[in-house]
Amino acid sequence: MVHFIEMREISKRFGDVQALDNVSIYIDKNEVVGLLGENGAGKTTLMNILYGLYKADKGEIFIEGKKVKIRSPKDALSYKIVMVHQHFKLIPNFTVIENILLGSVKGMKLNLKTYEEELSKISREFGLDVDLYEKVRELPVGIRQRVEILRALFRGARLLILDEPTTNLTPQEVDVLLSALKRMTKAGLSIVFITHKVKEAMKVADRIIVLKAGKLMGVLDGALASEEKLIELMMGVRDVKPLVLFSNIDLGSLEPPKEEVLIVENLKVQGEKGEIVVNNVSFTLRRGEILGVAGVSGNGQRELVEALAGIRRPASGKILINGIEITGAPPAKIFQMGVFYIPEDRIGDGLLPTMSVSENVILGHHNNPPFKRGILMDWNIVHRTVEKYVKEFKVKAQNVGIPAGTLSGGNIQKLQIIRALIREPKIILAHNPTRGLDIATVDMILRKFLELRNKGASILLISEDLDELMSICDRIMVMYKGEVMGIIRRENFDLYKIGAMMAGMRGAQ
Amino acid sequence: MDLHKILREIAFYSTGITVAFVVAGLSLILMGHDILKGYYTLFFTSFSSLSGISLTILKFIPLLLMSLGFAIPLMARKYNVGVEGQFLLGAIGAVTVAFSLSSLPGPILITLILTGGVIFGAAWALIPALMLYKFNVNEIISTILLNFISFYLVDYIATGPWRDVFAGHPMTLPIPDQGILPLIIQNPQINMGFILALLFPFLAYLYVYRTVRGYELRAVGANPRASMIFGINTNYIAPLSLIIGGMLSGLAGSIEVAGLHYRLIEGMHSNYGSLSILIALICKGNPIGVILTSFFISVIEIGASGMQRTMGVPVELIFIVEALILLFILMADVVKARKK
Amino acid sequence: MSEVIALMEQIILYLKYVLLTTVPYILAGLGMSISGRSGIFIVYNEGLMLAGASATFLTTYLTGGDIFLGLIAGISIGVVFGLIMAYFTVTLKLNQFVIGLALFIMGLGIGNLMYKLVIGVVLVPPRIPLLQDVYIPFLSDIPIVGPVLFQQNILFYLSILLALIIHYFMFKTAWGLNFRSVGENPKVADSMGINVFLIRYIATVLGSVLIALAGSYLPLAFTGTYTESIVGGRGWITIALTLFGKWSPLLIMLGSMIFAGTEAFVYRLQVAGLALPYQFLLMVPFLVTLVILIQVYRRAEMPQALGRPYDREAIEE
Repeated sequence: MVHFIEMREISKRFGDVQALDNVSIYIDKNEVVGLLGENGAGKTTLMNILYGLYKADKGEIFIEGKKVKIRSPKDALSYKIVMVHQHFKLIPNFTVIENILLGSVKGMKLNLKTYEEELSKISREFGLDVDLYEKVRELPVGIRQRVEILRALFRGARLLILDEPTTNLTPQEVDVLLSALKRMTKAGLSIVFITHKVKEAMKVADRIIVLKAGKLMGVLDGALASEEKLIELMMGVRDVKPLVLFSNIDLGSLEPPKEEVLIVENLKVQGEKGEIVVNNVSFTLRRGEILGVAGVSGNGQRELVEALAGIRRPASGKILINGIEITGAPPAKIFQMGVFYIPEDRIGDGLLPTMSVSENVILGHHNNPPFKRGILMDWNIVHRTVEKYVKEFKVKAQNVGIPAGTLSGGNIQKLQIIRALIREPKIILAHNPTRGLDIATVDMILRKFLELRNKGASILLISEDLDELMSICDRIMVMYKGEVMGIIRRENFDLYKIGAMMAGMRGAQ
Repeated sequence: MDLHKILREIAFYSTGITVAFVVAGLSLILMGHDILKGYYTLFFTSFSSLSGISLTILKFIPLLLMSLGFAIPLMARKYNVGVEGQFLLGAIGAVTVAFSLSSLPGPILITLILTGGVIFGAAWALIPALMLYKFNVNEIISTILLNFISFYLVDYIATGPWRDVFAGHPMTLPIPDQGILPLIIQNPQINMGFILALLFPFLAYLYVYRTVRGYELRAVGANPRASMIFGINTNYIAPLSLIIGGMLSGLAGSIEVAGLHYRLIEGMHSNYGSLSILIALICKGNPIGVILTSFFISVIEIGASGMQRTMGVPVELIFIVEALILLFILMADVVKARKK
Repeated sequence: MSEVIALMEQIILYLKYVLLTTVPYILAGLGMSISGRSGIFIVYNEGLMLAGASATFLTTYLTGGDIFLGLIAGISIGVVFGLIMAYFTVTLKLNQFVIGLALFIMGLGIGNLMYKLVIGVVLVPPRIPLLQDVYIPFLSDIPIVGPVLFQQNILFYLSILLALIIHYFMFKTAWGLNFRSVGENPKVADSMGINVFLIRYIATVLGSVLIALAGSYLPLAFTGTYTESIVGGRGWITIALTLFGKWSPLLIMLGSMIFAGTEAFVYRLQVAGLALPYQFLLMVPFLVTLVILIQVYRRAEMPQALGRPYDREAIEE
């Protein structure tokens, strides 16, 4: 039987890593294919090859039975294959309509009016409402996704590839998206839905293709697949109970309440353009506690944690650590107090690409004995200390002297975590610390956080992964449009209640 | 760093350098010259006479210091293209001290002359440093503009109250005798500046790779934002590196006055600026590599003027070859990375 | 009455001179904005302009005064430099500043080498004919404005025309939209099927051609001779003017005119015999540029991907 799109025996190697190993899949018309696998399994790589961004070392692609060569996105687009990436391919300085037309219009005149009508039609048909003349940088994340999908439809996509599309959506918005996708397939589209969330794949996919470490593990019928079977294929483990994410940990109660190590009072922080993005936030963090911060990305979490880390000066309000006011203090001072920051942007905010692994990990700690002696650095001690952690966290690097920029994304993230542990942390500010990591490492990190908590450290865990937050947090604070919608205690954790708060509905304490 | 890796690096880079010289040879043939005579003059003029050695060392000293003056800010990802102007300000500082304090005894005067060079050079770098610190002005352009201003300053002073009226070219009177750097070797003539200059690559190495400040310098060059986030005071570091660059270049200028010309001469900066930039970029800022490369460049520069003198080959040919060496070495880097 | 007429004549001469001196700044600035908008930051202006000046001078001289061929020679040098820059920074993905500095030095070397080889050392420097003024019919008869604006040489008209054309192309056409996206975010442009490499190559070559032409203009417009210092720092100043003009053709044109006005004013002061030592007058254009730079930071707006190489297979975070 001739399939719509077929990829045969695709292999791709990046340096030492075999990203894809002899993978063969097919996609038919009018179906949603779930491409399931944990981070690093090769799902995005496989689709990037189909979209022409990467070149496969081996293997062939067939469209409606005919062999094709896809050498660049231009070729893919000519076959009406469109990909919406995890990191949106939009130019912030251009308007919505300019972004939609980018690359598909040629020639001299740029008469925007003529396209306006067509775009409005598509917009209405699928419920993708957006202001065409707004600059993209003004739009919130959820709306930007609409622009991407609108663009795909405008280009007459026959295959739409979505890479982790629910990352920045509330649970309710996810439902809306999934039903919209079902409508699109009925209208004639094929969709590939890349995800690492099992439940999501089961909800939306007609067929589920599972990848693990670059290999094809199995293809299951969406309606018939069971969660256990999918998890087993995806992670290679039979029993997920030991994993922190899946077990129901008893954290013990927080009574009697311990002392407050971090107090935030009426904090107001401004964003890049001077607008208030953290609006009158107040909360406390106690010793030996993990406080989660839930919320769709872009609701002020980044600015909040940057204010706490001393990188961003608050407009007003107070921050106290161990009773000492540190509002507006520089990062060095906050660091000295034992407050360690794990930034979300591991490369832009946390990596010195040309310098060695050791030099990266020691960043921030370098001005302290035993790593320094007088004005000189003691590289011996630095290397030995870092080596210990590199082993413990199984960082894939030949030695601690190689440039950190050559490591894979996951390993770079491990370095960020190690950096926060190298000296006794009192408070850890962690922003999406497990993003992009495989399940085994996620487990290791969550366990480490619990260990630290039990020893008396405090952790502010900002994450977009509700499962993660619900598994180890004592309390969860929900942020929406820069405000605290509510703080929920562990015994009251409820996925949809939190989801409602993430979408703007206030909840009870 | 294992031996195999080092040998491989040497192999790739040698190929690059060789290609550049092959290009030179082909050009010689095209211009109708004797290629063997050309190569011989190019590489051996420095060693074929005592004055050749002396001239080479005299060129080596400023090149070494100014290359370091470019290399240290380079570690912080800053391009101190103003080494030339800082060199000239150092020279101005040297003659200013020499003429103003001419009654002081030798050793003190010399020390003050050199210090004056360092201070004036640092001051000239302070301007772009401040512009960088307060206004985030790109240092490539600001330092180059100051270079041009420094040329006019030199011209003004060389035709000012200290000018030598009998000279055909704008220059000052010679500095007092006790301000002249003593020779450490008579034949060939090598002055104390040589020892002084050789100190600095090692000091630079220690500073950049072993001290806390040096680590912070490199971190800022690698990722200024990450450095800021983890406590390094990035606002200071880049401007500070420029000032260090100015100090080194200024010292070079004062040594040039007190050890070679004994005066301030219009145009004394020659092509030191461009050469130092090339040297620092070729070595990627590695202080030890700078010593070898500076010496190598000095040798072929003396050879180039020898070629112009005895064969009529313009010195610019070698200037182009030196730029080609940089380009080919960069290319070798890319090839090396691909063939892993 | 005759004093008024004399003053008017002085003003006309002054304005004419200002526009005459504006041309190299506009041409080089346009060149930088084209390549800059595609993400390539050219810094070798000073060297390329010298090489262009040299090539044009020598070709014109050797052909007995054929200015057109001279300009072609300048354009060719621009193409060569552009291709080398594009190869090293787009294909090999090396650091644009480092390659730019290397090419700057090469430009200096090539410019002077060619002159020395062809002319050598002579007592009387050779001369080439200057660009003639082109009188536009009717318009050049308008009092005051006429002689100033419509009695200029052909490269002046070309530079103004180019500024308008390039502005139109860049901001009012679909093609320009696609082009600018390459400098804003090449990854996005690539994903939309735009050929980032090709556009950067073309932009770098076109940009270098204009910069070289700016250099070619110099021997043809002022003295008809060539010296080592004929560019005199203008190449670096155009970088500052481009930053000031936010990489936009019309703003660059405006900034160039204002700057040239200052430069011409200083020249007039010199000629008029001001009491200040002449060296300090010569410094003024550079000091003015420094002040311009300080202003730039307040208005910093540039293509977001400027100065960074594009690697399709680089890890995305």
